[in-house]
Amino acid sequence: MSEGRTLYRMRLVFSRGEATKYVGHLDLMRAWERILRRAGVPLAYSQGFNPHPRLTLAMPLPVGCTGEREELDFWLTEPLSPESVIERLRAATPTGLDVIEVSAVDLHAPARPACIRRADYRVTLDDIPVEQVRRAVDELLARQTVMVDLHGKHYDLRPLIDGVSVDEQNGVVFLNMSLLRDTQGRIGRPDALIEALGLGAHVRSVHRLGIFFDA
Amino acid sequence: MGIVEQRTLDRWLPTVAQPMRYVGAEWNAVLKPWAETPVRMVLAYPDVYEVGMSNLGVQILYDVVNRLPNALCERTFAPWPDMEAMMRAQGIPLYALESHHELADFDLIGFSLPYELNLTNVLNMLDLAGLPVRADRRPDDAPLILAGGSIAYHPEPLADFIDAFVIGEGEEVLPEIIAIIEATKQAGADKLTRLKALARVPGVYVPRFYDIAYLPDGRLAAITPNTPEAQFPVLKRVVDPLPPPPLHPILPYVQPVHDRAMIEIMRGCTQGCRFCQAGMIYRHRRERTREEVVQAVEATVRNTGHNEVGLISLSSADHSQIAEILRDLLYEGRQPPLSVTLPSLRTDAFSVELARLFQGTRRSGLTFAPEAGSQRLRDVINKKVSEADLLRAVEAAYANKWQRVKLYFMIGLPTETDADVQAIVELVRRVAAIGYEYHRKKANVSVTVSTLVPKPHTPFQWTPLLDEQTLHRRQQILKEGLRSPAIHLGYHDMRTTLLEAVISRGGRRLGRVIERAWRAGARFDAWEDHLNWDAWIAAFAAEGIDPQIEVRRERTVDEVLPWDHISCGVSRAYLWREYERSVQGLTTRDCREGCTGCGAVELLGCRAGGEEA
Repeated sequence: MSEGRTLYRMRLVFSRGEATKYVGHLDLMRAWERILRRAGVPLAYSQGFNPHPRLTLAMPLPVGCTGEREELDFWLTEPLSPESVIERLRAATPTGLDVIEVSAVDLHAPARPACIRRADYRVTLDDIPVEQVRRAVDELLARQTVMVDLHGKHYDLRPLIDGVSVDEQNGVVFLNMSLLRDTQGRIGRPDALIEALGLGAHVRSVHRLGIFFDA
Repeated sequence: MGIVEQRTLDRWLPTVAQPMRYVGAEWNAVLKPWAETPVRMVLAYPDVYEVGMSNLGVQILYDVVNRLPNALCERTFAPWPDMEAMMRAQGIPLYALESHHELADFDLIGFSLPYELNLTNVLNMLDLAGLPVRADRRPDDAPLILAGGSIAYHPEPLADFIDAFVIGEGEEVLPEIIAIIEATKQAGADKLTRLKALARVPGVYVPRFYDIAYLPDGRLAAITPNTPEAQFPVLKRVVDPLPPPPLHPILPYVQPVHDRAMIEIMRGCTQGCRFCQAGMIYRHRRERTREEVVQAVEATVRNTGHNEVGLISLSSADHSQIAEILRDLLYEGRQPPLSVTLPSLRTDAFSVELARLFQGTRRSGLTFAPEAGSQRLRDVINKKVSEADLLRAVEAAYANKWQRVKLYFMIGLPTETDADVQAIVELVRRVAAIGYEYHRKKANVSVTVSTLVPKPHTPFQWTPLLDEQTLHRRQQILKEGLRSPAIHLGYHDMRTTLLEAVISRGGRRLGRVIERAWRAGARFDAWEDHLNWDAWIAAFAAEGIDPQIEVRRERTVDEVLPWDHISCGVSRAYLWREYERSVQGLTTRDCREGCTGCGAVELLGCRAGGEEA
């Protein structure tokens, strides 16, 4: 896609709120493509019959979840200062997608999805006593293996759990979870852990606090 | 009354397919303050979100109403069956996407009705809104139910359910209606007073103010206004010149069926094809200038981030500056890249030349619609394409590296014989042979054959629908004649065609059939895998209406037709004259070459045939 052209890579950190939490991955990528075009940044397009810009989301968010710090890499044909890109993007983003920061990234830096180490989530629960949640968590963490089925895959979730904790504020129970990506690229999914805890019926919302990377 | 709570939606939306259909908050969606806005309207589209959001009329009217200082306009679409089941199970009423107010909170629910086969969805949406479907059962404080779109030109099948129809283009009449809603709301007027005020607005049809009398055999005797406020006939509204197009269309997250910016370059068509309802009801022809179109495209692309734009009209190659427009939009090295589509091309070499311009390096397939196989029958339908035109266009397409040519034909045309259908076979074979010359076995011809549904306000409104036996025989001729790996043949479903034909020409009594079919579970009739044929058959039987007889009957010139009180600006006398010329095989010129006297000059202010016409 870059034959004979100098490209510039940038990284956007954004949050995803209530208004966009049900947007599927492909629909979100199409939305970002259009936001970047509305913002008037000089996107690099693939050559060929049907040119499309190169965009990489670090880690898709499960449908229904909000996110505090999501990441998107994109490629430009002209160098622009992060400040000017932020300004242009802010005027072009819809409710539910907020630009937090933009930075220039080395063109040869590794692909972001391959660098994920873990992601942290905060789950708001409804209609359940805090003790019951604590018990479920303790029991789960005491197990050697936690076999789960998700999207047709059967695997052990236990080694992907970095930590789970429970807290309560003003009578609302929260579940905090830190989930890993292993060397084979498997990623712990929050919905899998919620199911394993038997709390599926009590979830009010799932919020990804952040994605943490090796590099 | 009230807003559907976010917590309720959060609990249940994850259980349905494509939850974003039901959320709103898209780019360019408008959320006006509820309490401060005197008139609250919701545009209701009786099909699923992705289809409705591809409708240019929805985007136009949303823009028009939201520009008014005294009104707000929100949107709602037919919930998909999984969503409907969830809403009914959880007691969630139909709500508007912008504010999540339930529909019953609005002053005005405006249905946009482009097609016969989603009328059961209209009833279903009223019911999901918690409103009685029949207009005479709705209390005075219920929202006013308005409907417009092409179905409003033959509104009787919905007359029992809709309070008022808008005949024609909504850009000017909708603000007038909203002013009346505001005034009558402030005055605390009852519904009857409000409807009488609306009945005076040119282009508004209030069905309860018209009595229908029947002959002993069930045909219509007369349609008569029963109040002095009612217009007779109701002449459609037109806007001239075309107002500026919406430049900030809503950009859906869920991919709409037509995922591109739409710029209407022209309204109305001068070709005069006798089967074409759009060609009759959208007269007269009005163009946007080259500068206006180019500026609108650039602004819309800037405001949406679209990289694809459709230049919309009934016959885009007929725009007087179409080549210039394409050149202005498609220049070498344009950044970001833009692709342009013209959805309706003519069958001639000029159109291929245009396609070469806009398709660039893409060569997906080029569509031509000769509609009939023989010259005789093309003359009957006034489709001014010769075989030489078609073959030249096809040759130009294949020579310009298109490997696939799509052809549209109709069967069931007046005076049609098996020989005319055999002529389709021969024509398609000739096209396939040209393809083979250029691309050998890679060449492909895709043939779609639909059955003529005789439509109101066309010269064929008196014509019967082709009977099934003849239809099958003629389809067999095509099947046997076009057996080739290079030819793909497709038909439309006969049940869908029959239903469309019955509803197209139905009178007020058909409303009971629609209500019964809906109560028995009919929804999304346009979707072949959702069409509940048994529900329809049972509904027809229960009401004592034989759909076959209704559509297979030839009407006489003196018969009162169920839409005779609605005028699209084309006179009945002209339509009958065209019908007579049709069966004699006489063509009528494109009216840009000289006025053909359809009535639009007198009734609509048409100038397409020249100032002297």
